[in-house]
This record gives sequence, structure tokens and C-alpha cells, in this order.
Amino acid sequence: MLATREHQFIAMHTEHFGRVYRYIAYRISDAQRAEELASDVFRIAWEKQNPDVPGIGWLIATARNLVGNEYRGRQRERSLTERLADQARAAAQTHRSPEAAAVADVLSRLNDKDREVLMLSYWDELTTAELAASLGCSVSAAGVRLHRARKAFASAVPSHLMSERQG
Amino acid sequence: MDRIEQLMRDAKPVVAEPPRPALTDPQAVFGRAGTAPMLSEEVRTFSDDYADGPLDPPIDLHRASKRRWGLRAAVVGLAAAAAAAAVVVAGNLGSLVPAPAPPAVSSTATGQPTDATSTPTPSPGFPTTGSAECSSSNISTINSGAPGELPAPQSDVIGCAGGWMGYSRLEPGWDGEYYFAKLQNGRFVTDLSAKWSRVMSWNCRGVSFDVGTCGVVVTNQEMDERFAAAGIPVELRPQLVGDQPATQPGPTASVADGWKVYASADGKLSFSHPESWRVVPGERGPGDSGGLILAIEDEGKKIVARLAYGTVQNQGRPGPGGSGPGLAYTVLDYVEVPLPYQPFDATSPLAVSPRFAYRALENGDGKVLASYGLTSTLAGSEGRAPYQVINEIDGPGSGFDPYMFASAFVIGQVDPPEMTRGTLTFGTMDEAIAYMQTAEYKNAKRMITSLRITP
Repeated sequence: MLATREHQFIAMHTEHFGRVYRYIAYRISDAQRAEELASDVFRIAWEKQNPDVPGIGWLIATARNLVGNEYRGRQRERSLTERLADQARAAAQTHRSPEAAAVADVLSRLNDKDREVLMLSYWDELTTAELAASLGCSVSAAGVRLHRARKAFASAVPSHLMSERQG
Repeated sequence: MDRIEQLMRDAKPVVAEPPRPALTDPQAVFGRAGTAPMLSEEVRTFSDDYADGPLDPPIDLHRASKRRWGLRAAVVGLAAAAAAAAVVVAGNLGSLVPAPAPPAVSSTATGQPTDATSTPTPSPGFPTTGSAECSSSNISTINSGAPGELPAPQSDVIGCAGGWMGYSRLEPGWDGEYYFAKLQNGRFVTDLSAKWSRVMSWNCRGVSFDVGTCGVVVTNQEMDERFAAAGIPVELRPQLVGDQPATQPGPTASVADGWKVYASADGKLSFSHPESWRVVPGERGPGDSGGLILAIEDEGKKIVARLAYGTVQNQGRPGPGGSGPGLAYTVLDYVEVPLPYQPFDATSPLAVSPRFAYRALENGDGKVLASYGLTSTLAGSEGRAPYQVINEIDGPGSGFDPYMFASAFVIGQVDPPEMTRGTLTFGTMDEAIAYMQTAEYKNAKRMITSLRITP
């Protein structure tokens, strides 16, 4: 017989595991390791015994720290080089557009916080409230950070990309 | 979907569908709740991307240092690959761009007030230590968080003496600290787990490396105390980090009618102000990096206006946010000014040429909030301000770094509320209008509209 908290936790796991996994998979190249880290996120959530079942913002914040630790614990230079090489190969194989490559280049030139905010918003599809929970700030401040990140992106992206529209 | 969102979404990497592990009994999978916090603790220690985040740990200074160093070290080695390849790595990592060319000195300020310059004044003739080469190529770091030793990237050696080396880091954001290495087997080794591995630089002061204020100059005595506290021989201070940066004559020059001209150190920015007012270094926010931040005080040391120019990514600044009917606002005074301007979004109906504006908001509780300053964003349309009233000009160049010169950066309902400091509060709109007849307003307007910038 499972307790109420366990039922809530299972529901939370079912709802958010995919998003947490994707968050990690966007940031490290090893799918199996991404799965392990995603499981670690939920293990930590379970161990913390928070009175409330954590939301996606808390889970993403924890995942961010695990990803940081992952880089700390590995041969970072080699693994990052491999990741970048992997991505270059993947881009060639999937015929991704030069536009996507240019955006990737822009992202690589942003500071880490701007890049993370943009990725959280548009790749991980966090709402502003979820973004705020993930960043540990108010909703208003999260909006500010996204605004600033967008400005930084706009200033770094080639002008012809900003004017082209598809569809 | 706007263009930025569209670009971002189109560039989203393709990852395999996530596995869907069934979780039927968390206790069986994860163990009894609350019994195995080891991993949690490790994560907490290394959560600093947003230090005020949900995990909110008190980060150990040296462990934080190790992490930052290690990450930066890894990143620098990847700069070339990043430029050629695709997306990005973890949010914890620094920018994947090559470090900039070494500046002449380890300050990123573009124009601090010249009474607060930060150039160390090293004693002449730095001695080397034995036959060991006193150069950045002879530095190794250990305990950085990465296995083994790492070369110290992009360092600017200040001096060597007595088996020690003092140096600064050249990557952006590292100018607030000096690093130290000890001679071991012919190489200078920085042990980042050691207290002696770094001290705050001449132009920073604070309770820790993560909570401090830059744009100041500390004295030789204060630096000696830092050396002593870190366990670095105090007598080597002149060789390792030089002497207190020399203060220079004040940046202002008198003009005929009781006004002075302030000019930044690089001469690219200037404005005039009443002789009795003082231009002092402004308080930097945690997100400010580089650039010029000033406060202008009147005779009673009340801050009349703040100026920020060339700062990088001030995370503490608000932007448009929220929606709804907004607040009633009134433009009480404005005059256009010839200043560099690069609109963030030229198609925005709120974008406007640079101007000085004195604007007031009626916040609904009978109070009138007002501010004066430069802006390139209208408060709203038809007398309703949907967002905050922001005193900031977009630009001036491709960097889009906005700049401000105003009584308050923003007025309205803003989080965090510190950003509204300098807001003028009146009981009625008539009082706000009457304020324009005061000497304070007239002088502030003259001062702010006198700003000239050569990007």
C-alpha cells in the first residue's frame, strides 16, 4: 500500500521525467548517461522529503547542477570536444540548415546565463513561472532575464537572419 | 512566434525520445526517503549558476573557486572547436569563445572615474625566482576540480619573488582577483584548494569573491592585510601585485558659470555638472561587468542621478514584462538629445529617438511616482503604461548594451524593487509638476542633457 506522498511522487515522475531527460540530453552527448542523470534528479527529489512535491522548475535546477557536476567529474576537455564533434557530424547528417548552424554559433558566443535562459525557454519550453522556479527568482525577474537574453541574442545574430521569415 | 523564438526552436537539437521507466514504488527504487543525502549534498555544493536558486547553498569559497577555475580552464581549450561546431554545453559552463587579447592592465573598465583607477603600480625590476621562468607559460594549477594539472589559461603575470608568483586572469569577469602560485620543481603551481591561491584585486572590496564591489581602490595597508590573511608573505606584496594604484587628478574641469565638465578616462563620455556636485563611483550590481558606473551627488550627498555606460549584461535590470491595462502616465517634460542609439527593435511602437524625459505614473493609491532621465522607450500609448517606465537608451553599437543616465532606472512595480531606487514620490500630480521649477530639477536636466558620447 503506497502512501499519499508516494502516489504524488509517481505522478510527478510520470509527468516530468521526459522533460528532465530532454533537458539533460540537450546538454550532454551520452543518452544513457542522460537517462541516469535524469533518474538521479528524481532520486534527489525523493530523498529531500520536501513537504511539497517539487515542480518542474526545481527539477530543472537540480538537473542543471547535476550536469555541471557531470562535466566536473569527467575529462571535460575531451568529452566536450567529442560532444561538439558529435554535433557537427549530426548537423551534417541531418542536413540542418545553415541558419541553425548560425544560431548555434550565436549561442556559443553568449554568456552562460543568457544562453541557459534562452535554452530553458525555447528548447525546454519552460513557462515564465517555470523559468522563475528553475532560476530561483521571481516571475518578474525571470521575464527580465529572458528579455536581456533576447537582447543579447539579437545583438549577436547576423542581421539577415533576423529579417528572414519562414512559413 | 517571434523571430528569435523561431530561430531558437529551429536550432533545437534532435534527441531521442526519452525512455519511460515505470516507477511504481519510489521507496523500492530510491530507498527510504531522507536516508541517502550524499548526492544531494554534492549537488548543493556545486549549484551556483543562479546562486539564489532553489537549492540555495552557502557555497564554500574555495570549492566555488575550484569549480569556476576548472570550468573556465576547460572552456578555453575548446574555443576553436566551439567556433566551428554547433550548439552549446551545459549552462554551468562559461562562454565558448576565445579569450580576448590581453589588455595592458587587468581592468575591464572603459572609463572609471580617474580618481578610482585600478592599474597596479608594480615595483620596478621584478626579480625572478632562481632559474624558474616568471611567465604565464610556467604556471600550472591543481585542485581545480579537473583531474591532474591544468595550465593556467590567459594569465598576465605581475611579478615573481621569493618563490611566489602573482598574476591576474585575462578572461572577462576575472579582473576582480589576483592569483598566486608557488614554485615547485621549476614550475609555479597554483593550488586552488589553498587559501593563498588568490586575493581580491586593488579595485575590488567585499566580503567574499562573489559578493563584492569593484570600481574602488584599496590602500597598500588593506592589500597587506589581505596578504596576511591569505598566508602570503606580506613583504612580497610590492613584487607580486605592485603598489596601490596612483590616484590621478580629478576628471572635472571648471567652466565659467559654476559648472564643471566630467570626462571619462578614455575621453569618450562627458557631461557637465554643478561645481558643488560630486561624481563618485556608483555601486555595482552583481551582474555588472566592466564599463562605467557613476553616481552624481549633490551638496548633501543625495544621489541626483546615476549613470551606467558600457556595462555588460546587468542581470539586475528590468525589461518590459507583464501585461494588462497598466498605469496612467504623464510626460511632464522632454527634450531630444544627440546621443548614439541603436534600437533593439525598430519596429516596436514604443521605440523612440533618444530623449530626456520627466515622466510620472499614477500608481492607483494616490501617490505619483516620477523619474527624469534619458530614454529611448516610450512609457506606453494613450496615457497608459503597460509596463514599467524605463530610463535607458538602446545601443549605442552592435553590442546593444543599453546605457542610462537618470534619477531612477525604472519606476513602477518592479521586482526586485531596488531597481526603482531614485524614484521621486509626490502626493499629487501638481506637486510633480511644481518640482520642475526647483533648482534640483533644472540642474539635473541640464546635466543629463549635456551628456555626449563618442562610441
